[in-house]
Amino acid sequence: MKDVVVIVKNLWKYYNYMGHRIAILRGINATLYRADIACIYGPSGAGKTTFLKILAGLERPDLGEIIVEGYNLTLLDDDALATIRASIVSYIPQDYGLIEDFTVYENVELPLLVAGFSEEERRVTILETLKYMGIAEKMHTKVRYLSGGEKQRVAIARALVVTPSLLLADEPTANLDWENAKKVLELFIKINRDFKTTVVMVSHDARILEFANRKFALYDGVLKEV
Amino acid sequence: MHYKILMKTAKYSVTCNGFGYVLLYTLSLTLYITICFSEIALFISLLLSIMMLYASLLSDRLSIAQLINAYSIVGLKRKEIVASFYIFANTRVLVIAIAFLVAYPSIVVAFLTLSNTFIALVYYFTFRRV
Repeated sequence: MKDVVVIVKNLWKYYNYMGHRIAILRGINATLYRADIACIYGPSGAGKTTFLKILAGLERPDLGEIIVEGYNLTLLDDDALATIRASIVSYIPQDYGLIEDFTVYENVELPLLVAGFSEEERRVTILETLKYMGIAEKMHTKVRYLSGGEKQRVAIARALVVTPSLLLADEPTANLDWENAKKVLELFIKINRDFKTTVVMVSHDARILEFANRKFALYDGVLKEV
Repeated sequence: MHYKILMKTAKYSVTCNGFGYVLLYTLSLTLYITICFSEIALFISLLLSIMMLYASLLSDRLSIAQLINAYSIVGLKRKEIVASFYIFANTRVLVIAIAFLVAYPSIVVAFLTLSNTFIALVYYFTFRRV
């Protein structure tokens, strides 16, 4: 029997726009299993990022339930959601969410500081992760001097360093040419294979669907498996 | 290990552009309040200092947004993020306080003591993880 990682039940999210209440997500249901690679494809404004942020506990739904590794995120307070982000769920935003004036090492170190690793543990873990991601030689370079592909790798390294169960990537290929995009997508497959991490990617680029074993389409706030 | 995050935040505050402006302002302010030593000068200086602090934070708003965004993603709790922002701003307050220290030592001693007591309290209540 497959190990369930994410259960989404009847998820609704509304936004207020110019005095009107608009449903951005409309009754989403989905179940993701361990080591799934799920791609959610949809046009801009379909609610992909909102859905991903809700999965990461960065936003709250108006209705419905999300259960990640047995934790019902809708019942948790903000502090508990932060703890979930520090240990179980890692989120990679479209703009990478890195601190540009920090070095690669300092950026990747942040989740380990939150998790309370000792200095030696941090050093060893970061070095292993950066070698795995192929950016160990850039360890002491400030992020602002890296290319888009390298920044993406640093963002993935920061997400991966705490070995989360669920890895969420928002438009991971949006700022890259297709050659670099393919390398990043192959990296997600490698992570998925090596760590049994469930990966969820959202994109408006249909080409990423070929890299997934679970394919979803999100149109007008409605999610369908294809 | 959260004090490391605080130290990183303070270091980050020093490396951002706004800190350079604060340094220049502190130099000018030191000259002003030592030459024009009066109650009005103190009042004006305090007012200008608040404006300068606000302006320096405003000039670093993108860096601050990056910091808060990154801290939020890696799982820092809201009150920890607030404490980090406080440290970011307070690093600059302490620099501006140097100018007052030169002109009005007794006031500044009280200010620094209160300020650092507050930091200690924030640190104690915020960075305890059960």
